[in-house]
Amino acid sequence: MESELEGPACVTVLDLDPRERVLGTWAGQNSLAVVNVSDRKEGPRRPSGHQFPQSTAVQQVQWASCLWNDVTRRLVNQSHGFFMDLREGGGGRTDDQKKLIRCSRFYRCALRECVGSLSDMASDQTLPPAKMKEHSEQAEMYSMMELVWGLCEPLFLEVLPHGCLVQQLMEWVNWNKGEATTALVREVASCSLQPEQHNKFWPLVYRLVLQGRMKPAVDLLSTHSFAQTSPKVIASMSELLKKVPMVRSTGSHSRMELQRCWYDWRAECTRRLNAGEYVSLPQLHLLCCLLRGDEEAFCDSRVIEACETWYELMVGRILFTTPLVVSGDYDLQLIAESCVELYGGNRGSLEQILLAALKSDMLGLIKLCSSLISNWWFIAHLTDLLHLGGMLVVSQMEYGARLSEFLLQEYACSLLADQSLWEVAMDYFNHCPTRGRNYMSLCMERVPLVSYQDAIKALSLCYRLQLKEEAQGIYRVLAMRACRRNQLSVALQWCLRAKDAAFAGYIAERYFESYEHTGELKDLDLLDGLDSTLVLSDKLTFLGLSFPVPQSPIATCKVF
Amino acid sequence: LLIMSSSGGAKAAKMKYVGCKLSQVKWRPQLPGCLECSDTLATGSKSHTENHVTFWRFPPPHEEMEGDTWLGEDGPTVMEPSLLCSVKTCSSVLALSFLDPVRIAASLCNGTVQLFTTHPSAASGREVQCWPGLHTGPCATLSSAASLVFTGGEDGRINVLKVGEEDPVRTIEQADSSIISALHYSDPTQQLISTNLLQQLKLWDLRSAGNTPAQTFSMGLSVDSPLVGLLCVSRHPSQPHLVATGCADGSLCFWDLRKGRGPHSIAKAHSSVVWDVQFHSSYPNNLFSCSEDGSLWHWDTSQAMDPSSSLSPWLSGAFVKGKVAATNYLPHNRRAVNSLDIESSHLVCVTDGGALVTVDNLSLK
Repeated sequence: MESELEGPACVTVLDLDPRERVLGTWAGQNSLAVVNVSDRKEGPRRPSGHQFPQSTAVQQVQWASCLWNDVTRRLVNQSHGFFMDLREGGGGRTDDQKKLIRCSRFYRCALRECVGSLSDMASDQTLPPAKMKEHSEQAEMYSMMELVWGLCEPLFLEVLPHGCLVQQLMEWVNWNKGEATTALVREVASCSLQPEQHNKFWPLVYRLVLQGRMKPAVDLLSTHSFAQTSPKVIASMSELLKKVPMVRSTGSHSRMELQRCWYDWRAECTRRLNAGEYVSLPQLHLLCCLLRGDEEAFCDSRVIEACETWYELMVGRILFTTPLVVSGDYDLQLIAESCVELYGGNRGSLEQILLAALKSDMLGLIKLCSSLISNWWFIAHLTDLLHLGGMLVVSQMEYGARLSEFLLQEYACSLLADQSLWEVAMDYFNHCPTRGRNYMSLCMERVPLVSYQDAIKALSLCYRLQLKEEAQGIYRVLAMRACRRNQLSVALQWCLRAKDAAFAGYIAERYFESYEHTGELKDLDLLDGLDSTLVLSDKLTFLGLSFPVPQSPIATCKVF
Repeated sequence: LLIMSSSGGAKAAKMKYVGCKLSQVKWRPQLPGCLECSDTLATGSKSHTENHVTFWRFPPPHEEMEGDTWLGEDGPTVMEPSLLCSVKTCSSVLALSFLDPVRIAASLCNGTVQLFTTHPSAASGREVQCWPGLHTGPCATLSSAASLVFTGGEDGRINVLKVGEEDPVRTIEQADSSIISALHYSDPTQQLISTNLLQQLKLWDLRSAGNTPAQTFSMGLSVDSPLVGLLCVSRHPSQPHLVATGCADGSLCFWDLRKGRGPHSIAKAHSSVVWDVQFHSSYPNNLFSCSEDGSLWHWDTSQAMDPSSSLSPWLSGAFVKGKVAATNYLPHNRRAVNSLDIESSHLVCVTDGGALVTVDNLSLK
């Protein structure tokens, strides 16, 4: 979703009187609490000069609340697993290229599934129209992320042998547009008239060739009526198409060898063209010009109409004009810009981001994504991979690390908008070396502890991440709750772990009070084993000395 | 997206992600007269917005299976649970229990218990009864049998509810001076076992009218351990005096209820809180436990069986003799596993990451 700066967003809050003074404060990650405060004096002023509020209704204004729904939460949890495997999985260094590529592919799979689910929900008629629209917008945003990631992976993360980049680019186009093209092929082939009469026949041939899918193109051409009437023409073109020098990424050829192959093949194309083999079919003539890499052929309107998007044309053009291009080559940028112009020159967010990627301008790419995509998931994870792979080394050594950390931090903060994702956020903060700990302790203070299970989970997280002070804070909360429920032994247990002397004294007093009222002291055996901690408070020591403590049953138990 | 993880030669666990944290999972008991094992399970969610009890079918009902795929109508598909229906609850689910194949009770975070009923095929479900305000504070656990539901809460109260009656038929106030963390009811003996956060195990005889437990066992407390409490309990299916509990410090305790005042043995099993423990109902030499550290362990003492001794391998120190075969089905998982259930050779568990994990075709002896 694009968020061009159009000025501040305005939200009307009902029940808030704009004529009166309005006070506001942060109430969580993505909400404000606002309240009316009257200027009229109501009764005596407090010594500090504060005024009493007129209305007691506090309004909560929340934004980006639709950021995390079931589908996006799945993406968050899955990608959290991949992130942790990469960082803490062990078995080699984190900058091992294979691990990074594998992780990148996992992220893309999760993203693909997310896009699919959101698209399904966007067309689910049982939901209200507003929800459907919301899901459709989200699906669009995530599919844009998928497109950009698919381009960034071969450009930045993989180190490819000669001639392989263009193969990866073709795979990228096929990943995104392949299905639609195949559907068109089926439509045209099942046409009841002669296939070439279908108005999409020739555009489809061009498109298949530009996508590098030679075999379907050859099959489609063989359905042309010329295959029976003048077979030589079709056969000649089919032969050319079958002999396009495609590089298998598993093989490794030297640059010279590949250049030689292309040179020979192009010479063959030129020879056949000049021999007038395709005079009878002007579309084949155009196709041969495309194969030969003629710039004018790529600007032909028939070719432009054949491709749905500018990057399809771009990849085809790279294949036939500069097939041995590598990431960072100026040619990529030139061809990309020219293709964008051919398709109307519209520089929307997607165009800007893809162009930045093709220019290998990583920092520019990160900056654009951060401002144009309203979700930190994509840029945080991509930058993390780039940083681990050592791609973000600039003149100032630490810049890449700091940038990556900042993005992870922002992403983790955005997770806090959903109360069930706080543990995921804590793990991300844990991997922010400079400021992560501050965030972790602030986050820990605000974790909702509704049941004892929540509290125990929070405590075990504190111990895992070594947040001892925050753990003591949680113990105090638990001890207070237990006190209120009159569960004194529990309160004492938590209080001892919080090492709070004053509180321990208070609990000892409560014990004495209950002894005063009931004449007996319950659960005293639970105080066993506390000898050293009884000195925490005088009153507690007195309690321990006043009442004999029975022997613990644990002494006779076997421990393995 | 199905993620498979395996540990060496062990069975692969398949994880299916749903959109929210899951706190409980239970297999549905089979319909009367049905010989096959159950294929329906229920999960309870834990979220701050909407909560549901969701029913799933697993394994899918097709005969042909080749390894991990089955040939359905649309071609080969990997086995994963399929959603049947979902019923809304008014708060986070803390415990689930099936009364019979069509009725399930859920204890919730706001101190309420809700009873739901479903169609025998679990294609739809609805609430039939709600008991609000049973506990001040969350209703942490429940156990059920026939038409009775037993609940224990963070206020230390135990309630006995009967389906169809609005008020509890019996309430044991101040049953515990601590939070009741787990309950287990045995129908024939009318005994209720409860555990609490002060590491005590209490045995209640519900035939007597008193408000005190018949027996109390205690594990003692050490101030050195940061987390305390017995959090889950499971009774051996054929030897009712043998009880296993999971502790907050990661150990598994075995208790012999006939003697002693403390646990019979303690085994250091996990590195963090043990959330659920269960004996297999037909192969009791197999024990399953899951933990906050993300592991799901299967403890198999069938090798330690001593034919000459009538003592169960769990009580004869199988752990120390190294005769327990231990398998972790989730070696790479980092999110806490909150609950597990085992039915014949299918094991399911749920995690804080919102994953429903299935491990099937276990070899059990």
